[in-house]
Amino acid sequence: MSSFELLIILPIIFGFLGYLVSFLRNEFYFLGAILNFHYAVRIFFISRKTEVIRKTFGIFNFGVDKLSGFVLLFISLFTLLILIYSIRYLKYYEKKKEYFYYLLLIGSISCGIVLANNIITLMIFWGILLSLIFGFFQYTTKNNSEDAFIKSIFILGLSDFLLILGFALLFVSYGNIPLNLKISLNNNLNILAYILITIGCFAKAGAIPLHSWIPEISKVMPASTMAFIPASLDKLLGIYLLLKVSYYLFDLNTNFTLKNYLMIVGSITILAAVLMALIQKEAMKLLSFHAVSQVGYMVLGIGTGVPIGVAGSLFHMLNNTLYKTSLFLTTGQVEFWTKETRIEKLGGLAVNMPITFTSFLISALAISGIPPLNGFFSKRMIYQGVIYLYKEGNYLFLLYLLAAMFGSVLTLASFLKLTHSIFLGDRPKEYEKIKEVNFSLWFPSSLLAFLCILFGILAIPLPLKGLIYPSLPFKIEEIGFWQPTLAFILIILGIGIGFVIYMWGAIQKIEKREIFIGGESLKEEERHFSGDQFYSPIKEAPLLSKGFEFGEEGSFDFYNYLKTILGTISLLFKKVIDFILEIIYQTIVYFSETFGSLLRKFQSGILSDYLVVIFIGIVIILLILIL
Amino acid sequence: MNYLPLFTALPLLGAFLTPLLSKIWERLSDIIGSIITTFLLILSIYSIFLLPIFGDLYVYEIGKWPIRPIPLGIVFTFDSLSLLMVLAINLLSFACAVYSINYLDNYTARWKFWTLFLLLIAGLNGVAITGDLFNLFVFIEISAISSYALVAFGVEKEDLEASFKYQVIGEVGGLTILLAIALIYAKTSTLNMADIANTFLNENKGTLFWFIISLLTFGFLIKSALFPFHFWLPDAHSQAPAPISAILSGIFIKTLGVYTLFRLIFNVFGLNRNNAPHYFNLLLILGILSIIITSFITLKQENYKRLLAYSTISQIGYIFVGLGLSNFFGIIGALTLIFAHALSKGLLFLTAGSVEREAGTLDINELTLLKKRMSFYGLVYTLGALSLAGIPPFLGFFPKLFLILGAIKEKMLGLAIILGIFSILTLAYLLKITNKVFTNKEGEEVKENSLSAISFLFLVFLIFIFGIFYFNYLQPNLINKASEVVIRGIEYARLVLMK
Amino acid sequence: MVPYLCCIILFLIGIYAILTKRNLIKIAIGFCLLEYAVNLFFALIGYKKDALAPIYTNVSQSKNFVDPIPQALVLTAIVIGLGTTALLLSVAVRIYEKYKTLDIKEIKRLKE
Repeated sequence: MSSFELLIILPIIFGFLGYLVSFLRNEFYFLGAILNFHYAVRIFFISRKTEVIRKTFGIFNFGVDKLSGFVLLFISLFTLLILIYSIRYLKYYEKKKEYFYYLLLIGSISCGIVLANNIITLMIFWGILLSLIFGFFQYTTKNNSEDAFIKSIFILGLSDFLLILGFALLFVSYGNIPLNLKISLNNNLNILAYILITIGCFAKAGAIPLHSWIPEISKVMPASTMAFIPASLDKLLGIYLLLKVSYYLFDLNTNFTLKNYLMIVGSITILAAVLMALIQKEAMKLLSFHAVSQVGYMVLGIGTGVPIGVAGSLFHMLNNTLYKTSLFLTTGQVEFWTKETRIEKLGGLAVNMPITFTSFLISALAISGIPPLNGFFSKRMIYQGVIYLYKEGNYLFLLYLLAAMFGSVLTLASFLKLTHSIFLGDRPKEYEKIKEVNFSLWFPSSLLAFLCILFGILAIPLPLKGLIYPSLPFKIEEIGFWQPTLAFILIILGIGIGFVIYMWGAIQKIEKREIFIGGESLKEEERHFSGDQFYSPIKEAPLLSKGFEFGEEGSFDFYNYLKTILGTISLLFKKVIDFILEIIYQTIVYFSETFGSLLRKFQSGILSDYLVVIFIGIVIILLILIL
Repeated sequence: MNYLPLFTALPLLGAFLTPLLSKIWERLSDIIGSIITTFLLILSIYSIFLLPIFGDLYVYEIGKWPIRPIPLGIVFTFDSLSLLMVLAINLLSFACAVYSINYLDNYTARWKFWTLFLLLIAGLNGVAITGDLFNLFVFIEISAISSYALVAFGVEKEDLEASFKYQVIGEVGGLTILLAIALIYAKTSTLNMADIANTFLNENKGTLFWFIISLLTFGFLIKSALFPFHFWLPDAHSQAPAPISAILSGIFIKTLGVYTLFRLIFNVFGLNRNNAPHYFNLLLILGILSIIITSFITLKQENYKRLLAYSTISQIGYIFVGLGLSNFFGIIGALTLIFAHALSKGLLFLTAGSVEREAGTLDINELTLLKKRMSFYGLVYTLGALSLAGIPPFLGFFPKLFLILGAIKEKMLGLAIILGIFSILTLAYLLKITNKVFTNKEGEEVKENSLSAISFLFLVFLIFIFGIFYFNYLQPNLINKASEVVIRGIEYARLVLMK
Repeated sequence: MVPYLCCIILFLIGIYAILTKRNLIKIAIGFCLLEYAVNLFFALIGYKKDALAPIYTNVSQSKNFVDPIPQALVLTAIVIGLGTTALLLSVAVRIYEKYKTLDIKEIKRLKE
């Protein structure tokens, strides 16, 4: 047995043991995840040393190169962290037995996808993962969640089918090929196959227009599920596969149009999703829209076809899984005590939960792209990649660049609101006695937040040279100037000045009085101010005026002009796409309802009717065959 | 391999022994039934290993009437296609027999059930191995008549109604087949299938030939319940006792309708897509219509077994799409689907029996309100449903894959998309039962009895193992050889007559 | 030619009966007519004009015999037909006991 089989089989075996043996359950699950992680680390180090290792079992062919070694490592790391977190988080959850079992299975099957080295293996593991995710959702949803469940099945199932159809097209024309042929994308069949496959990747990673399952399930899933499936695992898998297909199986640089197709999808995703996130009032849903928006950067980066952009995109995938998982987990920690995710009900929890707050703040700053954190660095690399398009004569680069930059600004805006309304501001009375959560809950998110800082300050030596550059099939020239110390000092300085100003304000004596309006004293809850109203004008305005209002807010006219147009277009686009998808979905439902009832009428229960239809049938057959 | 007649002789013997011996002790009929099905299963597994030694074709001359120079007597011909069918029949009938032992506590008259059950198996095995046209008709009628009686076995209002309708429609099909056989005899003066093939080879294919083909096709389409000849199926398959529903839906319609059509169309009449494109297009269109229309009807069903029965029609549609494509991938897909559907649909119908016994109803809305937890059935059901809907790693994935590949090969991309979308719809309506019946339940856990658990686990094991080792075992050893028989077409006649 | 014509007429009467009659027993009778028509047709196939019965007793080989095989087959088909008719009628009787009617249009509990 080499480490390949052990990596996949051991978690399944230990998961099964845990499922059966009730008194050592958590220990078995934990052991399964640890072993998985252990072998992943081993395979990772092996893959660094040697070129490609392959192993064949019948039609199954597994192989590990540098890219898959890297993704493998993080998949099993996240499985382990989420498992640790969930053991405490879901302690009183009634179906946790099945939950953990599926969690382990999904982890190990995802490793199988990453290790797959030919078409059939990939298709089979991808299909298994789909069915496991269905099972996982079955066991983790709260009640009254049939709609969300069916919608996610509909989108994931349809797009996975399209992906498999794409691979089937390849299978028919090339056979069971390995995934590193670099086929050029210039005949129609290959292009069709590529587009079909990318649709599957988009749905997994959650790019617009196939994103809507993520916000939908965020309403009904616990935080740990959200952190596991949409935030970490599906990003890793979707972007990994997109990268693998674009630069290993095919060669994206041979088709100019397809590159633009990817970049347009990316830009629209960034803008539309972040605009949607701005107006959310529910923390989980807000985070899930950001999870969608960040995918846009990765797709954009892959679409550039420029080495630095692709590397940035891979780095961004890594960063995003780190901070987005951390954000979901910290929100889950808040929910663990308060049982509340509507942000207008929360507030002022920073004092009660300092560790949670710190992790949340670091992750929020990282996702908004504040230097010297990792999110800044990867976004910068993607911008650089987009700017390089200028050299190739692709003048659309300006639009992409603006979309990406605005996305980043709006992300910051949206996280200001979220941080303010959960951790700062007024604290509702009922939350005064809340304590910090215990170790196994805060450890995973703090670890991830720490990694965010580490990967930001030591970006070049640690993640880039160690993980990202070797994983890619191109030579990457050195990127420009990066002074983490300087950036760090500046930021600290800024925070220090802010603190001084704050203290200065706090020292001033303030006279406190009851508030009266029209002679009546206000009730306590009416005085509670939460951050959820920050961007409410955007929501209240109708579609077009929304765009103009956007334009009036800022001072840079040119930027704002473009921002207006882009915002309007992307909103329109998003609305339209959502609308079309909704129409298709509703049509199918309506069609099957009416068509089904109509057809059922034919089964009238009367024998003579059946016989008449049958004899008409034979007459038709006779006519067709004899004439 | 001269044990070949045992495939029909043993169950016939059992069918006549049960009424006699059950006078001594009623439980003896259980023992006879399960021993005979077990023995048949062993025989068919043994045949997998023995058949290649005989060059993948064995001809048994009944009563030693020689096949050469003139085929006077009846022959049994056993090749890889028959082997596949015999294997599917006996795997499923074994599981159903084991399941029936406990299930029959709901009914009186055990021995009557077993007599009819064994007659059914005898007829099915006979259809799969016979090489004589009239003999084929006799076996079809043996199994059909016993199935009519079994559908009415509960003698409730609905059972009798379903049985009556099924009989009238089914016998119209049977008589058409008999008429076609009479015409074939008038034209060729022989009943041996290989000899008929030889005679037709040298004649020009005029109106009479196509008249015969359309009569036969009509008869077999009724037997296989393809749209628009499907009306009897939802009634009959939902009213029969659960193990009988499993056999009827799982293997009966495929042996009587699909296998016979494969055998006659390809091997006896030597049709293929090149010399009769309109014929295959007809089957293809009927298959597609069947998939689309019944999928929509199925979505609206509120009865557990009726839903499963309707889904059988759309799966038959998939098989006919494979038959209509009739290229390598299509044939492989159709044959694998026959096998995969037999196992998984059988499994689903058996769970229906257990659920009905626990709950006393099969109405899905009433089951939703039931205060009982049936997690074992739920697990088994969901595994079967996933396989049926074509989710890897279960066996049901591969036929769908090959059918899609076949459609792509014929440059019918639209068809490929239809097949995929409706396979998702399959998942939707099958998981509707999982969602409504088996999840989110409070109440006590029901107790599982060991014999039915054995048959469930047996089928789940097969679905899983054949799925995992599909490319390693099932396809090279069984499916490919069977599809070779189909694709070789008229060559069959020469091989049989040379033996 | 006349026997063949009779055969076809018999067949059509049978189809007419099962398509239009509402009484279960009449459907069964129509069904029997269909069956007889097919059996008659089968028997006619083996018939040759001016030929002898296929019984070998002291007859020289040059005589013309009718084909014996269809007759044997028809016998089998008749027996099968007997089985199906008996089953059909017994189910019809049981239906009458349960539904108190023989009208096929009344018997439609299973639909949709």
